[in-house]
Amino acid sequence: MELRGVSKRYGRVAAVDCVDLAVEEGKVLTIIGPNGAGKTTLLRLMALLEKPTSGEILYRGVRVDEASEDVRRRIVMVFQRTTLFSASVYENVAYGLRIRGYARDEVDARVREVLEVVDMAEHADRHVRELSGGERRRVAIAQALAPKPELLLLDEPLSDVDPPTAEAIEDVIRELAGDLTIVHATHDLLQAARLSDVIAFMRDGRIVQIGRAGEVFRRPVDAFIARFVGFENIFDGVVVSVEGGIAKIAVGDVLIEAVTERRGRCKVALRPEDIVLSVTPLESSMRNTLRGRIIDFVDAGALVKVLVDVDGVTFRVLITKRSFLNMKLRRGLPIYLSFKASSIQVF
Amino acid sequence: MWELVDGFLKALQLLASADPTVIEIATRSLCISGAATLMAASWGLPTAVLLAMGSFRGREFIKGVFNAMLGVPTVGLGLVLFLLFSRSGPLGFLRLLYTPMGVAVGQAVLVTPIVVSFIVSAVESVEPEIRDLARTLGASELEASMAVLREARGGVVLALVASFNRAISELGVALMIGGNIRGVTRVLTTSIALETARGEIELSIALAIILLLIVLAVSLLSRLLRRWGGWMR
Repeated sequence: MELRGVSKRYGRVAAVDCVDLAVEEGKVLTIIGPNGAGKTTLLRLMALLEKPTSGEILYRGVRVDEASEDVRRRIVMVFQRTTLFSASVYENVAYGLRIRGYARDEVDARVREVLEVVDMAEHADRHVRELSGGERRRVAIAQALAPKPELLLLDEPLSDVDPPTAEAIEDVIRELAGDLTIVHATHDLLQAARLSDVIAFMRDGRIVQIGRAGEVFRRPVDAFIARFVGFENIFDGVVVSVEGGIAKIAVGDVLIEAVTERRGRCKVALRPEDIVLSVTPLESSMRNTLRGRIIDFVDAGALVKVLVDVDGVTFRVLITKRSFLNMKLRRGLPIYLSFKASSIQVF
Repeated sequence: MWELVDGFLKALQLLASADPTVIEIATRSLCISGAATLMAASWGLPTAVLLAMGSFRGREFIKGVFNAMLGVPTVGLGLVLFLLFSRSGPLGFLRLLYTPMGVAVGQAVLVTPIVVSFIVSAVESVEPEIRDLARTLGASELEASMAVLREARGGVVLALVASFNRAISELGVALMIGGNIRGVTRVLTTSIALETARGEIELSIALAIILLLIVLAVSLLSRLLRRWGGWMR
C-alpha cells in the first residue's frame, strides 16, 4: 500500500497532514508517536474506513478509496478499544468469513484454526461478555486473522492487556510477520523495537522520520523524537569549535565532544545507557570523560538510573544493578562519566 | 363492591367455558393489533435506521417530532383519521372506514412513533465502533447497518412489544375508525366500553382480564426469549 500526500482534516484540524508512506509487502511497519499524533486516523485511512480530504491511496499500484470493497476485504484493522459483536466467540470470529460467503464447514475449520493460534479454542462457545479484557483482545486478533487479510492494521494491540497476554499476542504477531503485511501503531518503544522492520515516527499528523528500527532509535532527526525514543539527556549547547568533524560543544560549563558539522546553538542528546560510570578515570578511546558527583539514584529492577551532577549539568546514567552494587555507589560519591563522541546526537 | 366480585367470578366462568363471543373478540383484537404492529415495523424500522445512522439536515428535528408524538391522544388521532378515511375525505377512496383493516392502519399510525423512537434510541446506544468493525471485516454498508441493528435487537424487540401493547390497549382509534360493529370491528377495548355502558359487567371484566393477560403474556414472552434463547443478549 502506498499513501501519496494523504491528508485528513476535521474542520480546521489536520489529523493527518500530507503523509507519504509506502508499506512494503510482508514487512512489519510500526507507527510510533505521542497521543494525538494522528496514528489512529492514519490506520483508519489505510483500512479504507475514512476518505482522505486530499491525496491518494494506492493498493498494488491501483488507486483505491472507501468504496473499493474488494480491496477493503483484503485489509483488516484491529481497533485500540476492543470491540466485539454481542455474540459468542465463535460467531465473532466467523463474521468476516460468513460475509465473504465461506461454506459452513470452511467457516468451522478456519474459526477453530485461528482460535488455536490465539489459544482461545476452548472458549469458542462462550459469550464475549463473559471474557476478560485480555481474552477479548485475543478474540479480536483471531477475528481479524480469520478472513486471511493481506494487510493487518493493529491500533495499539497490546495496550490495556496483562503482560502474559501481551507476550502471547506479540508472539502471534511475530509468527504472522512475513506471511502478511502488518502496520501497527503504538507508543511502546520496546514493542516497536521487537516487532518492526521499519519504524515511522509521527507527530502532529506528519511522518517526521522513517527508517529501520535501529536507525530511528539511534539517529533521531530532532530533539522531540530523541526524547521519545529514550535519549534522556538532552541539553542546550553552543558549538565552540569544529575540527576534523569533531565539534566541541559547551553545555553550561561542561565541554562535550561530538561528531557534527553544526555551528552555533544546538541541542545535544545522549542515551543514559551510552554513558559508562567509573570511580577512576577510564583508559579508553572514548573522547568524553567528565568528573561529577552522584546526586541521586532510582532503582528500576535489574537496572539503576544514576543522576550525576557535572558542574551544574545533570546527567542520567543507566547501569546494571550488579555494577551499581560492585562499585558501591552512593550519594555524594565523586564519579567519572565516559561516552563516545559518536553516541551524541546534535540537532 | 359485591358486584365487582360477582362480575369477576362470572368472568372466570366465561373464560373457563371458552365463550365463543369472548374468543371471537379476543382473536380479532390480536389479529388487528398484530397487523398494526407489523405495518408500523415495516415503515418504522427503516425510518429509525435512517434517523439513527444517517447524517442529513433536519434529522434531529424529525427525531424530535417522533418523540413528541409518543403521547398523542388516541381520540384526537382517531378523529383525524376518521376525517381522512370518511367518504368525503382525501383517503375516502381506500374505503377503510369501519373495516378491520382501517382500524389496523389507524393503530399502525398510532404506534409508529413508539417503533421509531425506541429503535432510534436502541441503535444510538450501540457502540459506534461496531459499524467500523463490521466494515473492516468486509461488510458492505448495508451489511454493516444490519450488524448494528443486530446489536440493538433487544431494543427492537422492546419497541415491537411496546407497540403491540399500545395498539391492543387503545380505544380511541378502534372506536372512531372501526365503529364497534359487532362481528366486524368489535375488539376488546370497544367491547369493554360498550358492555360496561350496557351494564354487562361480567362480560366487561372477562374481556378486561383477557386484555391484561395478552399484554402480560407478550411482555413475558419477550423476556423469556431473552433469558432462554440468548439471541437477544
